[in-house]
Formats: sequence, C-alpha cells, structure tokens
Amino acid sequence: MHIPDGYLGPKTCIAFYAVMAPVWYIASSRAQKSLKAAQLPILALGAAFTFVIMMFNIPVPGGSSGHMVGAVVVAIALGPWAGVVAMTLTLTLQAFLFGDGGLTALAANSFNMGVVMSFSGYYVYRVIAAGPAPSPKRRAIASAVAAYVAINLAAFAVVLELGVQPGLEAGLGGAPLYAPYPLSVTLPAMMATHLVFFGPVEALGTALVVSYAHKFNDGAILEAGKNASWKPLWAALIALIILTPLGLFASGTPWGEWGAQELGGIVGFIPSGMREMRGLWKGAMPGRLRRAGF
Amino acid sequence: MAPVARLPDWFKEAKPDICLTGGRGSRRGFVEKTLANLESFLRDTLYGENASAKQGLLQGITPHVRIAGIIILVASSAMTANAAMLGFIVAVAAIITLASRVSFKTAAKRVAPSFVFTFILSLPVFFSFMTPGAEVFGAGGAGINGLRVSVTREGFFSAAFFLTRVTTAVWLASLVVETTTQGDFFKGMIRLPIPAFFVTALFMTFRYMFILVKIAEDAALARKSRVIRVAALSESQRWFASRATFMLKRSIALAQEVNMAMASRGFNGVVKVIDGKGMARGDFLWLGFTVFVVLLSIRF
Repeated sequence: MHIPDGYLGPKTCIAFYAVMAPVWYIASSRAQKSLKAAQLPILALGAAFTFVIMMFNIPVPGGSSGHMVGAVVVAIALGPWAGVVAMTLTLTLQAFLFGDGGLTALAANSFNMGVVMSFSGYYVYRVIAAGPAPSPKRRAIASAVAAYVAINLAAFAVVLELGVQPGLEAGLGGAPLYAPYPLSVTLPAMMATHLVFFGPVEALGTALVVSYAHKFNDGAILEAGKNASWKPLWAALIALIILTPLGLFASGTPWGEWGAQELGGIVGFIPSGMREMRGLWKGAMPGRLRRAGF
Repeated sequence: MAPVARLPDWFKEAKPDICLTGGRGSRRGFVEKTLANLESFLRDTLYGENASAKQGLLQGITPHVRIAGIIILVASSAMTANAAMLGFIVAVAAIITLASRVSFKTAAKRVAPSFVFTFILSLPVFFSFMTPGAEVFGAGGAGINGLRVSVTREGFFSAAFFLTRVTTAVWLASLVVETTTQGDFFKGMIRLPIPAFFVTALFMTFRYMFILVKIAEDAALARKSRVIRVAALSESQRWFASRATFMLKRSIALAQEVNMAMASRGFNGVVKVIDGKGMARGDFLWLGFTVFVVLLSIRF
C-alpha cells in the first residue's frame, strides 16, 4: 500500500500535494477543535498506535498471518479528521526514517491511507452501527465491513494512481517512465490480493479491536470519535447526486463497454473469444420488450 | 549394579526447533513474526550503524538545509526523463555517500528491500510479451503457449531506468537517516516551512512509538515464554484483540497524562529550538548545488 519514490510521476505527485495541502490544514484545525485540550498528544499517540499496529501479525485461518493498517480503528476512536492527521504523521516518519513509502509520494500515500481509509471507514461504521445502543454483533459487523470497504477503496485509489502512469508520463517511443503497468494489470493484481487477503485481515483486526474495546471497556476509548460531523458524508453524497446527470451529456460508448466492431476499430482486430461469443447473450429483456426499445 | 537411568520415550521424540505459538502449517507463528518486526524496528533505530557522529560532507551542513537539499535531490531523481541525467544523480548520490563517510554496505542494506521489490515487480517489463521491441536475449522462436519470452532492448532500458530511479531515490532519502541524529532531524524539521503543530506532533509520535513498541514487545515476549503448544486460532485472535485494545487504551491514557503535564508546565504546543545559528557558506553551496541539479533534471 505504501507507494515508494519513483513510482509516480511529477504531475501526479504535485496534484496530490495540491489536494492534500488544504486537507492537512483543515484536518489539523478540525482535529484540534474536536479533540479539545488533549489534541496534540492524542494525535501523536494515535499515529504511534497505527505505526505499532502495523507490526502486529494477525493469525488468519490456514496458518498464515498478515498485518493491518489500523486507520479505521483510529478514525472510529478519534474521528476521521484526526485519523487523517495521525496517518500522515505515521507515513511521514515511515518515509523519512524507515524508507517505507516515498517522500515525493507522501501526499498520495496520505490521501490513500489517510483520507480514503479514515473517511470511508468512519462513515460506513457510523451508518451500520447507527442508533443509541447497537448490539455487539452489529458493532462487530459494522467495524469489519467498514475496514473491508476502506482498505479496498484505498487499494483502488492506488490502482488508479499507478495504472494511469504509463498514459500520463511516457518517454521516447511511449516507454513508461514510472509505474510501468496500465490499469488492465494494476487493477486485477492489486484488487485480487486486497479483496481476498488484506481486506479480510483488516476487517478481522478492526472488528476484534472494536469488539474487545466495547466488551471490556464499555467502548469508552472509542467515544472521542463520536463527535465528528456528518457534513462530509452528506457533502460527498450530494456531490455524487449532482454529478450523476453529467453522464447524460457524455457521448460515445462508455470506456470498456465497446461492442466487438468498435473494439476492432480501436485495437485493429476482434479478439477470438469475443468474436465467438458475441451472439451468445441476447439481453435480459424478453424479445418483445427488447424490440419495443427497452 | 548401579541402576540405569532411562529417559522416558516422549523425551526422546524429535521436536520442532521452535515453539509455534499460532498459525498451523507455518514455520514461524504470528507471535514470532510480531517479535521479529518489533526487534528489527528497535535494532534499526536504536542500535543501527549511523555515520551522524563522523566528520563528513552532510554532517557539516545545518540539519534543515541538509534535509531540504536531500528532498530536492530525491525530487530531481523522480523528475528526470533522461538516462544520462539519472546517471549523473546516481553519481552525485555515490559522491555524497563517500564524502559523508557512510558505508556503502549500510546504504545497500537500506536500499535492498526496495530494490528487490521493484526488481520483481518490473521483471515482466524486460520481456517481449510486455514490451515489444528488438530482441536482445531469449528463446528465439520458442515460447510458452505462443507467448515469446525474449528480453527486448526497449524492455531492458525501460525496466532498468525505472529500477535505477526508485533505487536512487531510496538511496538519497536514506542519507538523511544515516547522517542525522534524531535530535537534529526534528530540529531541522522545525526550521523547515512546515506548521509547528505538525512537527511537534511528529516528534511526540516518534517518542511514543518507542513506548508502544516496548509495551508490544513485552506482551509478545510474555506470551511466547508462557505458551508451550500451538494455540487455537480463536484464542490467538483474542490475544491480538486484547493487546491491540490495551495499546489503544494506554495510548489515550498516556496522551491525557502528557497533556496535563504539558499544560501544568505552560507548554503551548510549539517546540522552541535553542540552536538558532544562521546558514553558513557551506549550507548555501549545498542548497545551490541541489537547486542546480533539480533545474537540470527539469531541463532534461
């Protein structure tokens, strides 16, 4: 998940620093405001917690073990803005002192593991575990789903960042200068491992910690994060609702949904499997409805 | 006749050389892996070889200028699209390493994990099925399921360029750690244009890491020394949950204590540095040189 130096081109790195500069500023002031007096030590301890939790191996069925990122635990415990600051602190120390993740890629890594994981994890948890007194089972499921969704969204962000490099930054003759694989390679490679292995590890680890905290501490250590505003979630949902009709103005076939002839026109040939199977699927609608234009 | 001492049969049975404390089928249990992670962290940060006490090029430069210069050089290595320019930056890294009296063995140790990871990742780029081009080495007409497996000139240069860029960036970044004491590192960070709030939190994070790592190491070691057989999966997971929650609880409790200690001493969250020396001629030269390199890398 930690992108090293040299994998992302300057355009991507600069874009992420431009995105993260205001986020870091807002996150710092929000974290100070929501955590009140104990802001500084609690942020530092949250960051130290994620650093150390990454060193803990969690036993998983089959005899193997993996480690979790811990961003969702910190987001649930301290709130999503504090989660962003804590993850940024951890990633900065890892980049400078331990060579984990790059200095030029620090903003991108903070975006993936700080912003994406903290916010998605926090709000998924809050939505599923909503209510005055959710049952322990619901709370465990909420934290597991939140962690699973969050780490896979973060992995997907990494997929996009690495996968666009060959198109964004190419040298003479189109040779890739940075991460060399296109989306068609990065997507299955990264998502398969996260959907099947790292996602369940993160889900299991987060569910265990949150459940244990509620069982033996009555959830008191997770209280600080409850004060976070719902505004970012509503803002994101409203933005998606507003942006959705933009699709109506798009022309041509959506990317990747080409017919056999269109694909032939783009790449110069029709793949044999596609040619053989193109008549197989007649559509979900019965013939009469299909002819009527549905 | 003296009685013959007989060992019981169970004592003579061969046992695995290590006690597995979880994770059937694996040679190392999850506790051993955790302990190894924690030990390597402490070994590398506390007892690792470090050239910061030696007299050398980087050691003679004011910490914040040193850090800024290294960041500029890392950015140069990330920006250039020219092989000759990248070669020049590699030569610069080698000269700085020598002039700062950092051993190449130590630098190689720092770079090795990134090099190996990136080499494995970029391996397919060498071959014709990933990068078509002029074949320079390989199976000629042979292949696997019609897939040619020869190395192409374009693939070789593309992968070698990528690998060199990543390795050089990691090498340069490692020079900060190798030539800077922990105190100087944070002193340097404070004098860079970074919000004081962030640097103070960074400094506290670094300190707390050791406390939490020590707590975690004690917990892992205590379990390892008390467990004599492979534990059930659910029991191992319960142990992980209890230790992680305990650390989170300790973190928050400690944070509150530190906050009260800070407040009682009138600390307002901004670390003040006693060393307020201005920049010397060597600092200007160093900064000027790194800016020159970054301008060259933008041009080429």
